[in-house]
Amino acid sequence: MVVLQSSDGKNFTVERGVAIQSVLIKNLLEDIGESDEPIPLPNVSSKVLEKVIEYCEYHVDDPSPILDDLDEIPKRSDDITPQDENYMKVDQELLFEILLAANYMDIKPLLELGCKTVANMIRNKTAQEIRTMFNIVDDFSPEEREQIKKENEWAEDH
Amino acid sequence: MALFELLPQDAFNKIALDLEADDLATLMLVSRRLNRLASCDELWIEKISADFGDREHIIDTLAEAGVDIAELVYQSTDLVPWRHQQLDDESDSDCKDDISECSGIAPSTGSSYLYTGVGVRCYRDRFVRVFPRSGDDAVSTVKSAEATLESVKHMLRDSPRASSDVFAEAAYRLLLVQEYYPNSAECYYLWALICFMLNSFKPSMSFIGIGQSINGEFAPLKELAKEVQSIVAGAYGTGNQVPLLDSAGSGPSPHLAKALAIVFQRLDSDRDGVLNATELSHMVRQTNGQAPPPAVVSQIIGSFGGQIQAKSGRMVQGWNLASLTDFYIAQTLDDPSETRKDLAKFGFDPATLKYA
Repeated sequence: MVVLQSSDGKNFTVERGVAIQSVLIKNLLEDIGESDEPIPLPNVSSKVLEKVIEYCEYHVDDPSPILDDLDEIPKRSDDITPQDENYMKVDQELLFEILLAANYMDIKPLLELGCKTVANMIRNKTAQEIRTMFNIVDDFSPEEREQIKKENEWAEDH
Repeated sequence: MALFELLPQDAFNKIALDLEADDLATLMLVSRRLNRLASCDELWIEKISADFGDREHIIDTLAEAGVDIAELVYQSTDLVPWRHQQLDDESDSDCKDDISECSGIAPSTGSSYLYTGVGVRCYRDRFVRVFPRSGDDAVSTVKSAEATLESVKHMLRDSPRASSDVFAEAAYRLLLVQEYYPNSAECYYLWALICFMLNSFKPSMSFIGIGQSINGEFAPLKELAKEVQSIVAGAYGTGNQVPLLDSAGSGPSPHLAKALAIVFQRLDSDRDGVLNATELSHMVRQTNGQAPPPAVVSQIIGSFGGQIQAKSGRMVQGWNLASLTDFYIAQTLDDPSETRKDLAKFGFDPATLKYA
């Protein structure tokens, strides 16, 4: 068993197989060896860590991703499983925090899931729709906006 | 600021690589902060590789096969830039110590991102080549790509034993086609074929893999894959077979080298260190069942040997051990099962190459 400690000092005891889906923790365990000492994760709150552990627990039996020579081929599939989709049905704040935690803890499949989820929210939307969805303030002047539009004409209508 | 705007650049880039160019153009219009995040040079440079094929990888794989197109590519005025010149300069001068940080265009961590606009311009210039605005452009592009592909096939057909310059020129011309047609399985097929002609099987399989991921039904790729796999299986052995070739594919494995040294000694009946015409004639008879005409013997002497100094000091027309090895490497690359059959006739186990 491995003990993980969140930024607010809460301890989570998990199976080794669950913990090492985080490459950060896997490397740490390899460096320090087995230990009962809790591993501190100063960037992850208990609320987020609990959610991250939930993901690692139900993906514990997944085969490890095959690292083939074909990494250079873009993988842009939208193949999110219903289970993963359900897992990602959280408020926006938690969604971004999970994404940042996955980035920090180096949990590639969870990071990909988070990125795909956000990308799906953005795809084919207008700038105003994106502002509304993410609660973003438009801080451009009309001239700036025209300038950017002109610069990006090449990318439209394909 | 909204949560989305607080994402670090590396996390934003991962999201952005899931999006199309027009979505990123929209994000640039949302707010100043998102405009900056979406203008990251490294993001667009990485997107060029993700969307239009990884050119560095193509160049490196060809180099593995001994085809050096780096010079042609970097001096080319026909290809639009796809790298960040400034980044390259930095990696040359500032951070020689840390190769991992600098060799990749966009390090996954670290905060040294650039926002010069060069990245997006490189992407744009490539994008408008792949998706031409006017029909006339599209037609002329098709014509020139077809002509280039024809010229490459012509070069490869005419010169199966061409010099490395010819292969480099052919490989570079394919890059000119790939510039406009990043999803051309035929380009990857022809790169794979060039590597195959140079007996570089691993690079060849690498190109075949990419080509098949683009178009798994492209018949020439399927056929080439079969051919490469059968040679690799024979030359490197399956099951209890030991390999015949070394890992580079250009020399003998230790097992084959040892077996050939024994074969050489046994064939060299006058013990002068040279297989002369009579001894070579015996060798052919032992493996093929009948003695060869003298013309054939002098031909194989010419191809793999020549005038060789014997132990006595005098020059003898024939083969030394290196000639014998070269002959069997060439035969293995052509048909590895022939080599195992020959060795069986010399008294070796064809799988383990042990002398029985």
